[in-house]
Amino acid sequence: MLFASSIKMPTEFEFVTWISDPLYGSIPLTKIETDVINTQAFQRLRRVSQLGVVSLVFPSATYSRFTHSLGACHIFGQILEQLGHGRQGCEEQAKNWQKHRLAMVLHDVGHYFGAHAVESAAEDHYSSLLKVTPKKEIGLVGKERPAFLRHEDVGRQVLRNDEELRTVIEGGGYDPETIARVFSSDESTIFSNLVSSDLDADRLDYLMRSSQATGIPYGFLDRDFLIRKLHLMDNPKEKEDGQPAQIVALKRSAVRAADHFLLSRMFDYLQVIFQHDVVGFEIMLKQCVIALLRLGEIKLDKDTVIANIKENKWRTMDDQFLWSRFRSVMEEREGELTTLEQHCFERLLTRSPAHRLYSLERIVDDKRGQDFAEKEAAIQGAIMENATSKDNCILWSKTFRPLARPNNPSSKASDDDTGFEKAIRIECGDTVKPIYDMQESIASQLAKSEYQMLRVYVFGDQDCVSKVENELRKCASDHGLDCHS
Amino acid sequence: MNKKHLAVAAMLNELGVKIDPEEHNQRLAMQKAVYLAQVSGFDLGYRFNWYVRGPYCSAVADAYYSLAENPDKGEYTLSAQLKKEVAKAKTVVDNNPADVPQHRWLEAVASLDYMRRVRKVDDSALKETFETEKEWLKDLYDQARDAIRKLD
Repeated sequence: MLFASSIKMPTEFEFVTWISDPLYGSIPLTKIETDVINTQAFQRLRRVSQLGVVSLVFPSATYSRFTHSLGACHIFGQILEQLGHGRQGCEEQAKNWQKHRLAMVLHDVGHYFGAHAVESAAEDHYSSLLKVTPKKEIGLVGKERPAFLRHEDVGRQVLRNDEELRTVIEGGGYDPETIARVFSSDESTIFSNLVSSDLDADRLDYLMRSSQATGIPYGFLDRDFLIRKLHLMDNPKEKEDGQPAQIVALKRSAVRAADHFLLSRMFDYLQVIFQHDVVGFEIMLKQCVIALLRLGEIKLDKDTVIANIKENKWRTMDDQFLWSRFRSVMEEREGELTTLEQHCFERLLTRSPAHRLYSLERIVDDKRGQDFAEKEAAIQGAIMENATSKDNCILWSKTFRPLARPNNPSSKASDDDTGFEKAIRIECGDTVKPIYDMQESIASQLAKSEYQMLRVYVFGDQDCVSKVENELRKCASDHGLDCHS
Repeated sequence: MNKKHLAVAAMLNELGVKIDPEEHNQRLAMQKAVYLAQVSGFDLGYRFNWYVRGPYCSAVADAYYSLAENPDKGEYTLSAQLKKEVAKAKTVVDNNPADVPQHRWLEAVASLDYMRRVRKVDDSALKETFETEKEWLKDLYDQARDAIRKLD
């Protein structure tokens, strides 16, 4: 009889490197993982911050996508071990374990510099290349194409076209396309929910790491308990939908811990990501990137990004690259910037927060929140009608749902809506339910709610603030916005 | 109104897919139609992931829910240039076999194309993969296989 301890694990799955980490003590890596993180494409992530301009408000929040990627890989490995799919099993299982760890370590390799604001700026810029005629005909403004790649797709292109990285992955016996499919959630497997969902390895590491870095304590999770309560069960939907035979679910005893995780994430977003000065800096960063795109200082369209990866230029496109472009535009092309863009460049480069003049923040249910678009349109209309407001301020609006749910709550959950696939799933006897259908969970109430935010930011000087206040006072008051001047 | 959303409306109008997010089958059809229009040549930058019912993009869902409230949504058209770019997708949509509901046909074609184009399933394994993962559509495999050749 063979005992597990007597089976020699293939050396390729042994850990050969240990990296110190403030969250986990140390993160062990296999040979191929070590080789991957030593490639230039991956080393670039040392110079891409996870939280971007958040560090202008929370000065310690400077950690990089490099450390986060290692953390996500580590957590994913721990979860797979808990599910009985670790490296100790048969070779096929160990290779699967390695494949998923590689996918997690590489999941952000295509991330743009400057965090999510850059992706959002690129989307806005390339959408602006569409024109709508008075006869409601959609066309293109010029020859430039409106297509750009989201960071997951850039990641796929990096794996496909960065020769050094591709060689390392293929040399270890793995297919770069397969790795990309895992981190892009392009296949439905038993582990898909752990790659991208309300409770995935990415979010677990993000929340804990951000909490530690910002000093905001909401991210202290019951991590070990959550992982310990994850298990595989038969998928009740398998036969009807062709889904995987098994599904990852939490034991029912972990509903509280799952609620706590969702609430922690909600608090993290509200206290850090949507903190008023952070949002002000995000807006400035976005405006500055849009200016760079408009002036042709950077190009982020699909074809250019792929060409940059092939020519190894992508490896140098990091946060320093972006900020050096900002400085050179201010030095050499300031006259080509709009008034608003000039304010944004000046404030961002000198860390001068914008003035939040008016705001509305509220938690609403699906019925009560329906006037949000109307309020947004009215405030935006008032801004555009007034000269000082138009040149000096921006309306920021955001609706935030703290957890996945069917897109249209008024209709029955349907198979093409992805609520169930993205939700935290709880074992209930022989079946499994999304947490938003569990009566005892706080999430069931949160799922009916939405956090709505409207804020008017002024980027000009104090004189501008007074003028904008005069211009918008009536409209803001009519729509229930609080004044912060 | 968001210009990308209006472009989605024009795309769906060109392909003859009704904008009606209240209906489950219509949501399926709209998702798959936008996917096909993008691979046909008019790439709006929407990113699709794989779900049990085939390629799905939450930003496209945002677009059709937003369009649902626009009374003019049926009036948007594509310029002559953009019509050419979605022409291959239009051929595929128009080749909907008789007696097969539109959402079923589009799910079959878009899913098969995604398996081959994005997931890089080898041609030799395409039939088996499709029939395993899309069992409820397996009777449409041969027709869908012919259709996706028109998208190349």
